[in-house]
Amino acid sequence: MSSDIEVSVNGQAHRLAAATHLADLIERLGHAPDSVATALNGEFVARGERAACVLRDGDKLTCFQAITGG
Amino acid sequence: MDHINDVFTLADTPLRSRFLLGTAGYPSPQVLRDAIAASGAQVVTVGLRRQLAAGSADNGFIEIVRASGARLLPNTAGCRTAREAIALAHMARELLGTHWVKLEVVGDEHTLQPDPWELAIAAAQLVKDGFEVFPYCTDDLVSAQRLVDAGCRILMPWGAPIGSGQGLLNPWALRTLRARLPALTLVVDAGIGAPSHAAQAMELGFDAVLLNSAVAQAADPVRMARAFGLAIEAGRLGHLSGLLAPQDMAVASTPVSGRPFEL
Repeated sequence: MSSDIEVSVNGQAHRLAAATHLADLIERLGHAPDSVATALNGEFVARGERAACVLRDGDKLTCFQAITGG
Repeated sequence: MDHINDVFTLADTPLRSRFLLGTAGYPSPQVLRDAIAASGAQVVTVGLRRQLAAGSADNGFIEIVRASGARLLPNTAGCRTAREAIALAHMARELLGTHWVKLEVVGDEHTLQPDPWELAIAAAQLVKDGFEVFPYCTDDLVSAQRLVDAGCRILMPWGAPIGSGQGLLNPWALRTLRARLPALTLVVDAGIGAPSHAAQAMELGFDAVLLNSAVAQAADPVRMARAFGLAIEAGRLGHLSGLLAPQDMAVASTPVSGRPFEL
């Protein structure tokens, strides 16, 4: 569909309907909202801002989780 | 030791232990849990990584860390620019609910040496954003002062490159940092390989030691965690007690006068 957009999620391409919000995408990916932190095109997007964040064609989303570390 | 009079305050938080422990690379979650307990550490470091798949598990490691009761100190490992580190710090704060961040910005792939310029840029921004920034830095005095100018109350200079286990490669630089920044909280971070290295850092007057690999990769991580805990306490005691100043020549310790059979 011409109205679709393509965004990258952790390096993998996803086709979405235009005007999809970041919060919707996180839900569609199966993540509990508080289980991941998100960055769009390298910039942090706070959990509370995801519902108002409209995704655009070519956006790069990165989801982070806590791990062990030194 | 007079523990009561030797209060360690880290970012306004009173702590009993001066041992900050990393949580990566342990053979199992159970060993990690037991090592944290044996170390006595009240602050443990954690990291962030890109999520590989929805619900991807880490075999329970992070749950063990959270359940340990220790304060979490998330790092920005893997970052090469201030921009990356700032974004990751914000994500860590949201995910883990702490404004503490171990700021890592690496400038060289082989030594994993911190990039002093990017570090100062990131530190200044993160302090403005309300973070307590624990920069992992080199032992260079002037770049350390720039981090202080940026608002850092704690610095964590390397003893040696991360994971190298070489100990304190430049004790003179570390002594200089201690002497020139007497009011700052200074933590030796990285390069510690043996409990004696940690004791040496404490004898130099450092406030604490942060290490990971020397415990996680030991044949018996739990016992090694205990060994480091003892060494850090011993080094601190030595520092507080006043170390004997080295001298070039012998000074007899037994109070004899002259030779025993010659009058």
